[in-house]
Amino acid sequence: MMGEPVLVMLVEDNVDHAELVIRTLEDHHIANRIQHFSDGQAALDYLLRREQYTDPETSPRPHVILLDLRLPRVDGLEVLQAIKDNEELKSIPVVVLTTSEAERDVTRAYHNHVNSYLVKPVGFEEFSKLMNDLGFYWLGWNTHPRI
Amino acid sequence: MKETFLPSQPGDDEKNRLARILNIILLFMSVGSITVALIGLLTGRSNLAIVMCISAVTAIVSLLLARRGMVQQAGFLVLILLVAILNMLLIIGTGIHDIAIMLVPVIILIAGLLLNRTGLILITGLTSLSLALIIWGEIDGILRTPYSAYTDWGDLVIVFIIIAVSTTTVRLLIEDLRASLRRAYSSEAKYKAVIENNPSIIYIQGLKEENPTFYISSQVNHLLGFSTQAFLDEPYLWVQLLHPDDKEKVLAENKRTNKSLEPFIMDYRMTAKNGQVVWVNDHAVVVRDSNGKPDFWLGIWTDITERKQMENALRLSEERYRLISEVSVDYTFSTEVDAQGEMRLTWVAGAFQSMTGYTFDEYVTAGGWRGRLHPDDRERDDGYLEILQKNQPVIGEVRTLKKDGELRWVRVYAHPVWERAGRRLAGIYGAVQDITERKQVEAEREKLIRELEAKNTELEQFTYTVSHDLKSPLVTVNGFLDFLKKDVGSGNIEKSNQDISRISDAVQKMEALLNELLELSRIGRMMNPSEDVSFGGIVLEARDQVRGRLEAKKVEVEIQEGLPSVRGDRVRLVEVVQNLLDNAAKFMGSQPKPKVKVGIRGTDDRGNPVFYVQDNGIGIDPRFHERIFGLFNKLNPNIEGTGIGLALVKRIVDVHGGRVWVESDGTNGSTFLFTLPPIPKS
Repeated sequence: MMGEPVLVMLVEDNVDHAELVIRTLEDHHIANRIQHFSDGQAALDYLLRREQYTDPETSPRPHVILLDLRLPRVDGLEVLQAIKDNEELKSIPVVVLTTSEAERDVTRAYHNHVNSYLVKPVGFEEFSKLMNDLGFYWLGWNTHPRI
Repeated sequence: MKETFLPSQPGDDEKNRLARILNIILLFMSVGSITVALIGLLTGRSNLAIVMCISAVTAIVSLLLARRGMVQQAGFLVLILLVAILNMLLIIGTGIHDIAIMLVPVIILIAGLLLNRTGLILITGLTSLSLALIIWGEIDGILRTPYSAYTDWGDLVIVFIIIAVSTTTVRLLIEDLRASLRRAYSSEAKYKAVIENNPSIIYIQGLKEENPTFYISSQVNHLLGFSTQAFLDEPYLWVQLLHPDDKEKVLAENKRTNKSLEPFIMDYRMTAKNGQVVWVNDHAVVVRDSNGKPDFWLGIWTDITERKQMENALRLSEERYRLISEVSVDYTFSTEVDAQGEMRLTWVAGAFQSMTGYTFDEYVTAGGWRGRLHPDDRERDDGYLEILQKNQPVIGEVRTLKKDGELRWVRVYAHPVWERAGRRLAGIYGAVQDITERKQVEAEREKLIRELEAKNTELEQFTYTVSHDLKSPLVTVNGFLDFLKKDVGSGNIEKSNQDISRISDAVQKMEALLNELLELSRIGRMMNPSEDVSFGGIVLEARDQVRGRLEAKKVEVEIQEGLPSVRGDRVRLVEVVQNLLDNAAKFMGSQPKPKVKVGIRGTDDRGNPVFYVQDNGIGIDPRFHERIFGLFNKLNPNIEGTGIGLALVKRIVDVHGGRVWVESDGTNGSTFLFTLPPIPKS
């Protein structure tokens, strides 16, 4: 495990938020590599190896997916559903990371077999702590399936 | 004297008849005796005068007796007197050969008329005896007359024969007379009984105007409280008793029939003595005499008060029923399954006609219940029949067509009539109720609920989006503030500036969001009054407002000529076109000849004009045609704007009662279409 580089997929349309996540994870030296996608369509293309992502060498499967819910074109829940409906992709842990605390979103996410649902805290200290814990848990403690 | 001739009670009839005869005889006797007495005095025949005086006195005494009712006694007295006078006349005259012997049959006749059998025998005996004595006196020489020499016992035989013949003849005559009288009396009594015991009143009236009453049967007392006598005393009493409301028409008909002599037949009201109103049926015909000349009116009054009351009650009941039918919104019915197994309507009551528009017969001809059923409800009606065929009642709701084609919702309550022997449905009875209004209210309510639900969903979506999108910049601001602290601490000016700019952008974005949200929430709440505006003018105004962006992207705008006017909030409509033009300019992509066309594409099915804004930009994937109108739904996060524009457009068009949609294959530009209400034709 430790010898293998950990790859994180970040699906987030807000560039500021993406930067916040990336910088925080970098500061904590958690992820070896973070791949950022700003819309659901692109993320799915990568995962399903479509368009420019056909080569498995350059487009390896991530160990964990951080997914925002409100995304342009293809919504986060649709991305989640596509992943969980796909035999090859369904075992990849998906963590929803969103500003939405709506009951409806939480329910629908779990209904679609999300592995974890995290709400972005408004205060940065909490945000930083969350990112740290998230990194430790999903990328440290958590045992990943073989993909 | 007068009392003697009055109509008497049936029992006194015989006595009265005798009294009448006696009276005449006595009058003659009195007058005759006095006359003869005077002659006797004048001629110096004093014997005769004395006898006649006695005769006159006796006659007057008898007259007085008869008047006291002692008819038999008076008669007897008179006859004894007559016998006495006869004897005296014979004695003072020429004995048995005197002309006065002619009185014998007269005496016997009078005795027969006045006296009963015993009296007649007594008088006959007395007469015979006195004559026998006179004959004996003459033969014996006690009585001497010029004709005594001719007198012998043979005369006695002759006298007896005369008396016997006279008595027998008188007796027979009298018997016969009495029998006739009895027959006449009994017949009259019978008719009288018929008339007097008839429940109807029989009357006789004269032919002249207002018809005076000559006779009226006694029952009138019972009906009107006035006696027969009252009607005879006041022959026009019947006119006075006519009910004021009927008087005019009765007298008019009276006048007419008096002239035409047609039968008078009429029902009218009269007022009885006690003030009670009675209804009579008056039926009168003209009776003619033996020469065919009209003589009098013979009429019958029948008391029909009870019948009239019943008729009135029936009329009231029918009237009430009719009124109830009019105000009722239901009707009841019964049907029968006929020999062919067909359901046949047999009876209806209530508001049937107003509910169906048909009379019973018309309804049956028009196909009845099934024939007037809305075709889409036939299947449901079949279901109801199936339940009835299981001997269970059913309540159903269907639509039926009225005669004028109007569609009405009705609720039918049907009960089966079960034939036990055949274990089958023999018919149905039930009620039908018009529930159209309730259905309309229900539909209205459903519509409101749906609208409310839509509003709720919209609001939920709104809250959800707003909470998400407003929180995002806050996360950004806080995050970069922390970075800024670190960067300032490490003295990295360049990075610090970048952080500040990120923070500043996020704050601006938030401000923009808040402003636009406020704007969105105002629509529908803060509308300007509707006016008739030229759509062409709106487009020009909108174009001027986005001139900056259009020019920057070198977008050519083509506006169709002669765009119609619409009714609405001008300022908001400008916003619609402005947003669509702005969007078109934004999503031109790499189009070398960017162009936007604004125009009209006919009308929709409700007659509203359909406007369009067409561009030749990047187009919109059909998958996103719905989503783009949602709040903050941006397809491309890198394009400026908050994602509120199309939500705003949709909201404004919605508020105007229109519809907005997009046509695009996702490559060759997009066409946004929307409808707006036209100016109503005045």
